[in-house]
Amino acid sequence: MKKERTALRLALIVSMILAMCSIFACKKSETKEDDLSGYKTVQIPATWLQPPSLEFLEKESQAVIVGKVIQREDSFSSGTEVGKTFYKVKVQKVLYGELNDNASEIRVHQSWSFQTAGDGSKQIVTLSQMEPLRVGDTWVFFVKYGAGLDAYQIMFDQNGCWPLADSKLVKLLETKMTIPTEEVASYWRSYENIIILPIYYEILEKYGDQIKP
Amino acid sequence: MKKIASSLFTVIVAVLLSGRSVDAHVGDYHAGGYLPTAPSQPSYLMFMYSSSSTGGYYTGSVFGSITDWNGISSNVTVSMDQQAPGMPSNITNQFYHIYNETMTNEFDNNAGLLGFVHPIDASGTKVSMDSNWYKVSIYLNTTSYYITSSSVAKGVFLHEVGHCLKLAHPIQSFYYHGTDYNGVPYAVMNSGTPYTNNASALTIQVHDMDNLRGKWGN
Repeated sequence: MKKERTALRLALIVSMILAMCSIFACKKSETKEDDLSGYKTVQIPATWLQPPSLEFLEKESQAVIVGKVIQREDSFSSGTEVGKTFYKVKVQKVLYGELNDNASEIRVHQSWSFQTAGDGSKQIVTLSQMEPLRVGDTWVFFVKYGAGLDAYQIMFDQNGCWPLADSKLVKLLETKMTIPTEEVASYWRSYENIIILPIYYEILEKYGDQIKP
Repeated sequence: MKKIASSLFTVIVAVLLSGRSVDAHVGDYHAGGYLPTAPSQPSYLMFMYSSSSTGGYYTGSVFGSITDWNGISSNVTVSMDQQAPGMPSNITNQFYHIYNETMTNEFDNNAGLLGFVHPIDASGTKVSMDSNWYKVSIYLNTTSYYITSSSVAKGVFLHEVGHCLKLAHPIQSFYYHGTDYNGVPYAVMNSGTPYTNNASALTIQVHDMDNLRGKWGN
């Protein structure tokens, strides 16, 4: 009887270990799926309103948060030209305004899509260089809840989603240097707005230490 | 004499620098042309069709402003032929299909997306701005919270047509110039109307004309 119990416990432990391994493997697989570096990206030009100041951007937003993308869920309906992606974002700090129910996790919407090209290859179609957001990325988000989407919308897309202030970026902005061509690639996800709009200087000035990684 | 020489030198340098700074932005346009004749395009007649009825501030008069792009380059003539609704049967290359849509289903109208264009190749694949295109679809957000007047709608429309003519956003063309905010020229092709920095215009500007000629010839 005792032996049977020991065997049962052992089996339970082994199955728990196996289950954990399987969860881990699943998570790894999700991470791999989120690695979009292998796909060719086709960017089509979109015209976004550019907020003239931080004050305007804040006024149009419901909340300004620092948040980490923890999950991505793509949604494509046949016949539509642009897909939707909903991100689960873990709220790390609320810098301005309020989220509904003071949520600690929010659903954030962004539009981008895949397409199968004439040659059969799969491609990412984006309206902005800052799409899609990657799981694990942390941003300063300016968001507003959209009831129709049942999710928060990033205000003005690339103009409402800003990189954290790492030392390299701050130095670049402080010295107002032009990004050297060979370094553009390393900033490809953020260069669209940080250099062309003076708002980032205002964000740094107002939120300073709060948006350091 | 030395003073005159020095002043002359200063003037020459200033002129050279000023010329450089103007020229530096001519080139805010994309590579490629329209199939099947691309990249050589001896003359260029474009037709624009509307796939649905007008909406919001996007009226026939706004669409008619497409001809503002005429008379700048002898190789570019554009005209408007509205058909509503549905695709016209005589689809050819050099054809623009305007989706004058309410984008509620895809976009939150408060989020600031005013419009975009989809260039495609002959297989229907969306392709990059620098590719050779078969045709282009223009999407206009007719219910945007930020389209507050006909002149703003016209500015957005002219901007999207400019994309169809291969013009780029000067404000974002770092790949071309590595410029910064302060160096951005005033142009309808800057992204950002209507509440924006002072680099955006609602009508075609000298910079836009220079780039159209730079792309398609005088």
